[in-house]
Amino acid sequence: MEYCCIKCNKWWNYPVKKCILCDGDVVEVLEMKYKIIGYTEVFIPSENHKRAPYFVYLLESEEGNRKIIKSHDEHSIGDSIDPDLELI
Amino acid sequence: MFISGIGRTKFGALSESLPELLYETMYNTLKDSYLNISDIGAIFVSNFLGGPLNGQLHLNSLVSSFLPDINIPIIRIETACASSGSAINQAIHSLQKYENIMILGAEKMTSDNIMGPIESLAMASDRYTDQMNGLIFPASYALIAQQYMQKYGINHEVLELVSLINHQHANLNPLAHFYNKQITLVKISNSPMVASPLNLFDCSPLSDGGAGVILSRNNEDDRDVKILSSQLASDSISITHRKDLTSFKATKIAAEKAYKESKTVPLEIDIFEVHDCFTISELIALEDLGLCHPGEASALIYNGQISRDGKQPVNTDGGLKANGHPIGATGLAQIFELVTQIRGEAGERQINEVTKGLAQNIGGIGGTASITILGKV
Repeated sequence: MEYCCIKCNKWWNYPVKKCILCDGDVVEVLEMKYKIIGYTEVFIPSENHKRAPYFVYLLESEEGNRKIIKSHDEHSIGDSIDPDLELI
Repeated sequence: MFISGIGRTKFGALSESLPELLYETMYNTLKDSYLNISDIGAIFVSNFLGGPLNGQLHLNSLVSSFLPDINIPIIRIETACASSGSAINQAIHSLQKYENIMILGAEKMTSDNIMGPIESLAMASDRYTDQMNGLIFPASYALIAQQYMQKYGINHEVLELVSLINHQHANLNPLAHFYNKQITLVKISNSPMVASPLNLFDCSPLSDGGAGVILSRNNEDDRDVKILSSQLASDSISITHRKDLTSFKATKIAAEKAYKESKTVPLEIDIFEVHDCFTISELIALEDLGLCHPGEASALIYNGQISRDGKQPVNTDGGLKANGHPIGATGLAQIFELVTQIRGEAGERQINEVTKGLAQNIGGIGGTASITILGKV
């Protein structure tokens, strides 16, 4: 989830209520479309991610907002993706 | 402000515990200096993972246990892998109150771990946006490498050369993790993939070790080295907040301030210690520190400028890649190398005519950056 100040358009990853820069209201941003702009395939398992290999994708929305998701499915750079459906 | 003492342990998979490493570091640092423990007004302790790996926090009090009846102020500083760079910076500010301050850094990473090192290291990134989505530490730098390679059209070969040069340098450093290990280009390029495009030899090792320095307000000894500048900058913890992954803004800001305060330009620096936790971060450091323009760092690798016989040697101790990366000690080990070189005490790996050196110590994925510039008195 992402949160945006309605006055100055600064972004947060956490549900803050007021913008510390301009005191504007901060609202949750919904229904964003993302594209894959980068990825890595991770080959080493870890306690929180036991099933390897897996992919980590760097996504960017039309507004330039960025997000990380993990997936066991292979995609390509430029693919459009719904990050909420891909979360594992 | 001056550095009047340096000390360190060997880096590697060691048998010593965290307390033993801290004690050995303190002992070696004091022995290098003309000062006694009674001259030290305060101590800063740098450590990242004492809690999750060793089950030991409250390290200031632990260090106090080594100093019976010397109840001076001691404080721990933690900014991930930049902990010691930050400790140096904060100790410098405290020199207004104390004439001499010791900074100790240590990390015990290889055994008796409570949590796994992968999970522990990941704590340097945002838990909810990054860690929970599979972004372990090598994966973060792998994404950065992928973005850099895509933007500038380089291939993995240049990263292999970065690794090789650092291993060659470490072979002249008896205290390095990879001292006396013959690492070839074939071995580097054939090493197993960790997170594409980074393989095992793109990654710095898990190391145990300690390093320390003593800062003094006054110049009292001909082995002292002058602190020309120390600067610190921060940036957001999650890489999702960065618009460009091929440069670390905090490094650029801190470096710009450090060059200005020390009245130097990059070309006047004789040697650099850069934070090559992964090979890609060395390329980015060379650009962020102004040795070349963005996207041109590969040329400095291929033309030999940063090798020990080049114009501006980088990581003459082997860097994090091959000297080792015991996190809380890493930035202090960089200062150890610069001071050793400026004093002319580096033995077989001594570089000719070193008068100025710069250390870049970063935390997490560039979320903290410390820049220190030292010069001959």
